[in-house]
Amino acid sequence: MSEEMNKFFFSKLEDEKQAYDLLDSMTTVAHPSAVYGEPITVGERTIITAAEVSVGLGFGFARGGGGGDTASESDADYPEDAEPVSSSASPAQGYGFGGGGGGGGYSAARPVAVISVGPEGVRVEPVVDPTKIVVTFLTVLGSVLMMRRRMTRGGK
Amino acid sequence: MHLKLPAFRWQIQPGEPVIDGPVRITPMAATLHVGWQSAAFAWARPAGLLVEQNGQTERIDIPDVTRRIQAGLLGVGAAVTLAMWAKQSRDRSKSA
Repeated sequence: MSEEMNKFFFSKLEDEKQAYDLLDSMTTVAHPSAVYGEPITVGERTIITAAEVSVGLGFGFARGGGGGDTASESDADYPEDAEPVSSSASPAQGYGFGGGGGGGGYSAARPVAVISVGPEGVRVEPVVDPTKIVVTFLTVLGSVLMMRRRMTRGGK
Repeated sequence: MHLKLPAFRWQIQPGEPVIDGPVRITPMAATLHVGWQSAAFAWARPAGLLVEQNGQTERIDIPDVTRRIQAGLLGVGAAVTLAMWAKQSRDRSKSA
């Protein structure tokens, strides 16, 4: 295998390692410090925010190699200092390698409550998200109406 | 190559305590971590507070009102759909 190919493959392995390290570091999200904010003191009160957090991540890598077209042309036979030869000039001495990868992820946070600590004690004030409620209501209403329509059609 | 941590982990974890005068508050978080081959998902939500005051410990829940309303709406939708289906089945059996 040529030096370039070695470099290529090992650089890809390093990328994979970094990706796995990133996956492992995602556990920091699943930790109380990500859920609760830093306490803020205002006068006699201390305020702490609480939120729901979620993170998802996925990736994939693939590699491929190449070699000579004939059985006698092994990887070791390939001269490292050889000049690149175009495929049209010598179609029998093909050699190639390649690789690629991709990934995607998301992260989301939603406030759940505000905790207030004061002279009167500890109070938990829930945070209501009207947008999510309205979207859920419309989705449920749409689903019920669609089911009703399907049932009415099926009954005829 | 694989993940160093277990594939599925669900736990209630205590956070850094907050001390405000005579009150000591320990926030608790419910955490979920799911990993599979080259994908992972992590989720965390507030689970409650442990309030220590005058030698007594009290647990205060942190309600997720938005989630409860959403669950209620989904339940009502499922109940209405089920009732419609039951009514139609009865009507069909009567007419048959």
